[in-house]
Amino acid sequence: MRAKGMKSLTFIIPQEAKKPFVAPATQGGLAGLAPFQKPPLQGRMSDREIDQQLVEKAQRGDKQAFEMLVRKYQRKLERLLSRVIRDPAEIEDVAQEAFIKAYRALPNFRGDSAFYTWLYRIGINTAKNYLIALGRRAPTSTEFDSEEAEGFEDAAGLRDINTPESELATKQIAQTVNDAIAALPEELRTAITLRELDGLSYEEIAQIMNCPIGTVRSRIFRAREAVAEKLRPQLGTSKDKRW
Amino acid sequence: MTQELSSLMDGELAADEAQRAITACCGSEEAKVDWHLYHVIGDVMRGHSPRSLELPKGVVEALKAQPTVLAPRRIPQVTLARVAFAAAASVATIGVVGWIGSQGAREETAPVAARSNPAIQPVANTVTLPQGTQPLEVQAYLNAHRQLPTPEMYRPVNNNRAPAAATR
Repeated sequence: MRAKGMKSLTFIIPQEAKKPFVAPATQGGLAGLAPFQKPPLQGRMSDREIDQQLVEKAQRGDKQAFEMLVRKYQRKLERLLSRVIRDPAEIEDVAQEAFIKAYRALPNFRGDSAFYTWLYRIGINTAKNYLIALGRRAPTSTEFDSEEAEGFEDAAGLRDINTPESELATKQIAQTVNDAIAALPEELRTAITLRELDGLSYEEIAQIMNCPIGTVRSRIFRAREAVAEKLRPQLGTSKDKRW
Repeated sequence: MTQELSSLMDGELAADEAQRAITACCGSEEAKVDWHLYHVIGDVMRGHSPRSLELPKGVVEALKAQPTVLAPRRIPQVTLARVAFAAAASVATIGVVGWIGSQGAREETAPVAARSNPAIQPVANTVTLPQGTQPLEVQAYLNAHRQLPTPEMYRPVNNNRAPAAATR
């Protein structure tokens, strides 16, 4: 699905770097399901409820809780802003300003909408104001509906904003993750793919893989930890080096 | 801890477990890095590889420089409804008790026996003097039996003046 108003944009990122990993187990009917579209199970805290918990902690003065939201949504917000602003450095600045504006406005956030929808509006308004201040044309409101925020993850028509250096880094990160997942034992690879790509719950994965939910929980964690361990050298924070 | 973090980001923890995991993660830099990397892995798998793996240090530093926000604690709608219901019930109770009290006060003007037995009527409230009694006689009688001190009782007493019989 191509985003509105993005038909004339070109893509320079190598397709192999952008192409998501698809495990053989999900190439059937499950791959078409969008992640995070399912209602939460009874008694489980949904993604939106987790965000709300973090927001409420931040509203009580816990900056660490807001930092967790920043770490969760920074890349998504930057991808969103890349539809409005071309320069990567400008995108980072505007994203930072949007997060700070959101933090200052936290007392006014009542949880009527999802946190990301609210952050999306702040980000778009910040970007528009930034462009107006530079004398550039800001996108009209019809180009960016607030309803897009929830489904933004699936928007494929993202503007390529990478410099050659960042393009290389993007490719390297994607390669590391894909290689690490390909090297996982079959059951770990299937479990994390069903979760991350197909958005299935642990219960559904347990039914498909014919194993207890606790096993699914453990497999997904072990898969993530194995991939994260490959990424840590790039981050400069190997588990051995840390603490 | 990291397994709870992994389950937390999948929305697979019960509310109390999620609360504990969030609190633990907020207090640990290591856990926050894991939280960051786990989300990056999901993004890459969905075809959104980031330009950099760097932590958002700029935002974090800018955030540290911000004064801490403190939002007033929100009162849940359920609590508000309970308060409103309690207030309405209190007002209604006061109204009913007041109404019952006013009814009782009206009835208490009659003696208990009269209220219980309609045949018994209260005695007259006015006193009629017997025939032939003169008002002046009544007044004199009341003066003689007055309990309160009269002005005559406050006449100064001369203690130095000896009785006439003694001085002689």
